Amino acid sequence: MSPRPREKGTVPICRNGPEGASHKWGLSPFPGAAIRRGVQIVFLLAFMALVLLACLRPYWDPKLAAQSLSRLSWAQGVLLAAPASLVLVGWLLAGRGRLRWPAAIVVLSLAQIAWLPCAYRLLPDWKSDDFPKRFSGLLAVQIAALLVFIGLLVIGHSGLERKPGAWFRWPYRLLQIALALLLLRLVVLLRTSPGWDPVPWLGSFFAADPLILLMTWLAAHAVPLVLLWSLGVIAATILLGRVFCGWVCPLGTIHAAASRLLRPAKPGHADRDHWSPWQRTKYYVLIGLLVMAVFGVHWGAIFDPLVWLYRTTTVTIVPAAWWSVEDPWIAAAPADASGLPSSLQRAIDPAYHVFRDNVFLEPHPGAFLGAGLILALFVGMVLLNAYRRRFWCRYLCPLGALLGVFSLRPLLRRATQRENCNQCGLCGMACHGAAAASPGQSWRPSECLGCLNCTDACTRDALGFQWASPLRKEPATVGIGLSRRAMVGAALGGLVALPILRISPQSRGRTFNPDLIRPPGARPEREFLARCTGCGLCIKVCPTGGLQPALVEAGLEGIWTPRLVPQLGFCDYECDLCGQVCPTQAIERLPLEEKKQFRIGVAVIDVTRCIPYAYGRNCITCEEQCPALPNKAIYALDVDIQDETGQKKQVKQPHVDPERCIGCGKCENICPYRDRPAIRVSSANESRHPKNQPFQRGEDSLYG
Amino acid sequence: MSEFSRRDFMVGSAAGMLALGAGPLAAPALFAREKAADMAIARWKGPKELDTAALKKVAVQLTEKAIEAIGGLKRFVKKGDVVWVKPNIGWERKPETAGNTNPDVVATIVRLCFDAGAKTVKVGDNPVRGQVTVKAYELSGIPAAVRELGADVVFLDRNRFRDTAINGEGIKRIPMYPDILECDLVINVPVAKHHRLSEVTICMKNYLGVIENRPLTHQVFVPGLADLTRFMKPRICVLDAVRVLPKNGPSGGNLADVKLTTTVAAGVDIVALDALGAELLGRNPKDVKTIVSGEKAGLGKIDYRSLALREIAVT
Repeated sequence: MSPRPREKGTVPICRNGPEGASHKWGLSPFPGAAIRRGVQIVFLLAFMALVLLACLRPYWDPKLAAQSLSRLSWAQGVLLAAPASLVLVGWLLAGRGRLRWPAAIVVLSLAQIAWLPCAYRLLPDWKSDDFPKRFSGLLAVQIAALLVFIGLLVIGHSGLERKPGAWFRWPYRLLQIALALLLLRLVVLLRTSPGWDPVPWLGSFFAADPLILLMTWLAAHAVPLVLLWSLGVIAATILLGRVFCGWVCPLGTIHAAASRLLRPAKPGHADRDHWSPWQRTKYYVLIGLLVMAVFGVHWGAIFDPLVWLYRTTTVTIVPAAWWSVEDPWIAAAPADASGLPSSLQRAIDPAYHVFRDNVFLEPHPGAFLGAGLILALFVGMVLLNAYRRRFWCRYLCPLGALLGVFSLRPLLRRATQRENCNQCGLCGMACHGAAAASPGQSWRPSECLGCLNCTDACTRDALGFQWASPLRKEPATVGIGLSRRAMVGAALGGLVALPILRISPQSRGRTFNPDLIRPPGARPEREFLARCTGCGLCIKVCPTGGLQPALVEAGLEGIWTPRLVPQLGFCDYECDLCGQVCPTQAIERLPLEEKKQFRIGVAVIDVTRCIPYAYGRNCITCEEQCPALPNKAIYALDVDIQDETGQKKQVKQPHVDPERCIGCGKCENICPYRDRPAIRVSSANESRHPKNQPFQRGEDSLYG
Repeated sequence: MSEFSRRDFMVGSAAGMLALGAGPLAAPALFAREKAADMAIARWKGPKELDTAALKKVAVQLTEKAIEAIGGLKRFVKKGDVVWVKPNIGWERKPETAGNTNPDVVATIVRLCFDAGAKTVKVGDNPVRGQVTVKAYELSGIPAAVRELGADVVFLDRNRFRDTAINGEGIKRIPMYPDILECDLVINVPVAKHHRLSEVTICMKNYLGVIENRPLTHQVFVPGLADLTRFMKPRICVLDAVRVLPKNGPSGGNLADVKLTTTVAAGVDIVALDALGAELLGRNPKDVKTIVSGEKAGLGKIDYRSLALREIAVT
């Protein structure tokens, strides 16, 4: 479609406001899109904070490790929070060049001073008994505030007659400031302290994701209660349209920012930013995925935007950032201590500790298998914004499609005031979702992200949002326009994809992949795949870094699901975090005592490599480290051997008792061989599969 | 009438010179045994049944007495020194399992260091690979005990170890922690435990917490431990035998394996202390290869009774 040519003689484009335009349609000076951007950034920050927080407290007590830094003092907190929040809020207020800097700064400072003690007191201690109560109260206040805020904003943009500068402009902004400060405080103040419970809301973004809810319900016929929170998002979508995509979704925020950067709103760009029939692709993808979900394939959730972002951040972005701090610090240590003092490294210690203890909250950066592919896909997805703005959100996102279905006729609708509109096309150029891209087109609520770019761009007050009953036809909307034939095709495509995904003997249960060691508490494979979203929360939370995203080990169906790679990190005997954080309970939450009995595999000694067997030297590192108490699963026997001169000597050769071994992989992890360990864990003997049992057992088996 | 003859003069001068010279020479022989022994063993001879609080007090008392008997820490610590107290924090174990050095013994030594004029006292160890350092520290109870005294609890960053030439018989080069090497004094404070490979792990083996790549040393324990000890040049060791682990070491973890011996020994001879520890663990030190190789390497004497020994009964 080509842009409708501008008729000669119409009013020229005018960025600085029209002459004599009435303010009939909402508040044009209200910086709607700017505030939306602020909200987006806040959510993105919250998301990142949750990613960074998903690390283990008992392993990582910064107070203990840092020696130099304990909990930040008040003054430090203010210093840290103040500049960042000033910049953020200043940017928010700057909106339209009508800001009054001195007043804004005074108000901000007052708000800050008033806010900090509140935030400090409100933030409960994780270990206190009333933590859940107090925290849910705090969260409720936050959510309520956010809803009120969005509501006010919506009223501001609906057809209510208000003069610019009406009373509710300041409440928005103060609320905004408060939220921004709260989140900053959360990021700054959150400390992990020794104790075994993870912060309960690490997976809160996933709990708000209706696609995960739907997919898990269809595939596993069961839903963890916490996922019901996402019904709130559905309700908001019915009411306001796809505001989740425009205002909340952190991946959407990244795409929006990339779009602004890579494809700014310029008249020359207009031609490619019209609505395209290809935008229906996402709905067909969703249909195919839903059909697959009915047959137990959880793929839809693997391509969920929040899951994409969480996985990418956990596996690539955070480690990369952390390594970029760690590497120079390591480089400061010369390889040989001959004469050189270690003062250079000591000199940069404080800066290093700030990052380690306040930003990354981990003792060492992680490293993940297959991170390159995950990063490449993510970068590719972001770069596609140069071709079409918010490419992923427009064409592919299954969550966006789901929400699009629910926003077919929202209560809040965009309307055009014909007599004010000179068909300049500015609104279409600013539109990220291509919901009504050219002047001639009607509004498609299923594509509208509610970002308010259009009302912001309009110089003539020809656009506004207003409430309308779902029964009313006006203001007019355009549906998705799915073709029946394509829908049937998509469903068939899903059906056809099923056997292709499950074509391997492994997915038929005829054989088991020895390298597919699932975390403790994982359900039997088919049930596990019906629930696992591949979000990477367990991978992030795993304190030893042993949980890694699978590539092909679990078949195509199980791509990016977690597996333990003992060489990189073992399953800690005293830890059950993965089961505690899993949002869909693909990994069951077992009591710690039960988890200690849950077998995830068995250790196998390779006597052709094992040092006492093959080389006649003592080692017993594995026996020393076996954590099972009181009886270790590895025991060493004295064996008489002869050395090359024929002299007799004794070595200790390790053996594994399969009744006691739970396959935690600590032995493999600490084996002196760093290429292919001489003791390796394979998935045989795992509690979750009655068929994968090579040993006749007593009564201790969990699965009989 | 007597004339002061040349002969008289010469004899007198010689006698005078002798007296002048002999004084300083004879003085140490007269007073040294009183002042400082080379090794001191403090044993608890009070009631056998001790609750946790009482045992804590006993541990403090034993440590104080043992160190006092070898001349106090003033003998080793100069004013303004940086001292590294090197306990055994090898495992994620609580004090009652005897997996790590007793925190009260360590805390007492830290206090005595400060009393002797130390500027900084650092406490740290490199736990066994596979054990999480922070967790091991925390469970050992040592950080909590020493931090309130003003000591720095140091977390040994894995990336700071530097390849160091020690040119021993079994170990030529090994990554060592530079901060420990750069201190003015390292006080070795091990706990006596059984070890499956070297039979016992006491003072000499405690130096494995100064290096990285610990498992590899398992293959060269017999010359290796002596190499490390020679490189570290120990000046003072304090053996914690308040609780010992005579079997299922070095990791332990089973309370049934722990033996209460309520003994603390201090000394300058690391081999002698190892011998004492081996005896407390129910072994003959002459059968323990690592200790024998230590004596052969000239690091000390197994027969600790032949040293200037003080045995103190504490009640």
